[in-house]
Amino acid sequence: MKKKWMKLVALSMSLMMVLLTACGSGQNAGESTAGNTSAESSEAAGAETGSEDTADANLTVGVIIWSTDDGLGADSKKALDAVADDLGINLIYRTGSYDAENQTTDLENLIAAGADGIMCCVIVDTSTDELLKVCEEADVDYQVFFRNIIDEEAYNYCMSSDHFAGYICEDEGSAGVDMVDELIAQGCTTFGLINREAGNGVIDRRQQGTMEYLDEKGLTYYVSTNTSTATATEMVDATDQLLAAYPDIDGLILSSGSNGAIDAIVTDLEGTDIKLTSFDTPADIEGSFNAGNLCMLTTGAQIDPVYALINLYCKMTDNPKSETPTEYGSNYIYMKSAEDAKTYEQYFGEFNSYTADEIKSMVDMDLASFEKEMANYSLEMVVDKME
Amino acid sequence: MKETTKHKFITKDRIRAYLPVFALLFVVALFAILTHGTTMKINNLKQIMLQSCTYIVAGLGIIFTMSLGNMDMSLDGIVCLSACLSLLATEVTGSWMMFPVIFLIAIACEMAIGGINILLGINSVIASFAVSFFGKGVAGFIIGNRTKALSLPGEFSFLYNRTGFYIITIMAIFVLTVIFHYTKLGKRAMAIGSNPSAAKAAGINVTKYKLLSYLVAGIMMGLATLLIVLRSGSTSATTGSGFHVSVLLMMVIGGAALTGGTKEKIYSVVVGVLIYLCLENGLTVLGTSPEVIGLIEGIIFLASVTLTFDRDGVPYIL
Repeated sequence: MKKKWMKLVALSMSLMMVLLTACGSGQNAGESTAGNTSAESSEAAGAETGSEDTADANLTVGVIIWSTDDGLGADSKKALDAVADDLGINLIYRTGSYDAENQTTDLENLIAAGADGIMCCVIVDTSTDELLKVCEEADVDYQVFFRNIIDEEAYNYCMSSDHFAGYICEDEGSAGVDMVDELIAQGCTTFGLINREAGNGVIDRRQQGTMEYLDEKGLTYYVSTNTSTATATEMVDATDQLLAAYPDIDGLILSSGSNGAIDAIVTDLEGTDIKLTSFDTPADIEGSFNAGNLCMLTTGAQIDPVYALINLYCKMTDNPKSETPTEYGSNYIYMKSAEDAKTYEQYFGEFNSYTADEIKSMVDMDLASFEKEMANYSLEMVVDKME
Repeated sequence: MKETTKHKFITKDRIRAYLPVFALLFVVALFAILTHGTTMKINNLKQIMLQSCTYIVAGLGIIFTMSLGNMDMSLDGIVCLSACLSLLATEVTGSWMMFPVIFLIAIACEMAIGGINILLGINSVIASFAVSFFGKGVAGFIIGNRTKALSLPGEFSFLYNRTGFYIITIMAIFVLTVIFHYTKLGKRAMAIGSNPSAAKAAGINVTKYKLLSYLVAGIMMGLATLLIVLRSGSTSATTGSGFHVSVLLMMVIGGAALTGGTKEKIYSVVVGVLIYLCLENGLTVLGTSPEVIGLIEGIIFLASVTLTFDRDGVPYIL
């Protein structure tokens, strides 16, 4: 019995060592720098400032994002990895945190891992300044992406900080207006809003913009509010319940389709006459349009973290776009048909929006030029470039 | 005929007692080597200690209910509700109301679980889930109907102080160790967890000590929520999300028995929290992807449960 136990313990420990060593050595291999961290930067960095120790090593940026598995999360990672490769930056990702406490822990661990800069998709708007304070203590620059800052106190604190690179977000309110117009053009008269609970700045603006426009037009709508961590199954159930409660709904607007929710709802609605628009993208965009219910998506938002990374990189290399934190707006790409989806997937399957030289030239651009470049971003721009 | 006796050197008790400590030393040493000493830098260690405070404080309370043999899955709802109502109270009254409200709500929630379990005979897991859903629902309703976020008033931000957190945690460990291992409350809670019928037959007031255990859990959950609010500076409908799973996972990794009883040890909370956080910290420093981190944590949890689960008093490794 003792021998059996010894074997079991030895086997477990060996497996553990192999796994952990593989994790460590896999990151040390020089095959791909994007998304990995080198042994040199691990060795050189600590919980203190990264920059003073990494004179000859690549810069490391920690990325805190909700997920790198769903539609937008995966596209964002692909785009960030490509740009990081072009700029010679190492990226470390932390995902899965849905509250301020866990994001704070992620931030601390990334700083300990030697991150010279942090990009964060902040989950709780009012914690934006608290996260910044952790960065300030570690003398690390901080950039927010996919978000603006709604809370006045947090906004004022961040905008007056030397370590805050800025934020970037899409015009969510306008996108909501365009979605309502698209559903009206499709013949919808009664609307259902599959919303998420308040507290997330981006989603709040989407929902607010949509509801204000519906009120302005005097249109009838009903709302189903779900938790921010609701799973795909829960979102489908919420949709079914809303439709059962109000059978005259003929148009749905999904304010957040993350974690597979949009895919699940598209499948659920198949065969019905209900039209659907969504702020997030399904995994199979073309298939979702072909299913018949989906009539508009806002997409292409993976360019947002790209601009954020460039902005942060400029700040980290003492070449900031502005002396004060920047406030950028980023364009959505609208898709309204399977044809649009096909074009999109043809050119956006991999990150083709900018070449390596273009990325490097954007680093050197002044603020006005950079903002102009961002404003040019569109499906047509990328298609023209690729053809 | 010569009788041979099996020398039971390796028993489940010894595994539960020593394996987590060795595991902690192993994890610390392993990452120190793999990261070339990065994880052993003083600032990194300080961060791990700071991150551990909320989990240790919560675990110190939950070990009381766990020793009863009752698993508590309500921590996320309790944190969310108490954080929300306490900051709301402070906003409304403009005073220090946050502090008593946090503790009152947490205690009320834990006592409700205890009451439902004892008086209605409903399984504690079910009762705790019910309280969790209630807490998250109420907090979500309050926050969802607001236009302004619930955040910690600026005048209280000085309370978020690393040294203060360490002192509170160390004091909590000391006090709860004494209560759990050296007072009637702790000993009787463990006795109830081992065998409620035997405890009752021995003259122990099972209802009284169960309720007292839940009271202690409530006080410690209030303290843990306070630390969370001070650290995050605000609350939302997702505050505390996944907290119950994290605390449970850490306690099991530390050797806490899921079935409760006299085998529970306070140090399993501390050791388990430190193993988990050192592991997560070390893997992040190595640049491991989040998916792999989750996989490794899952394997470790499974291994911990497998190695330490009590099966009818028989030594496990046979």
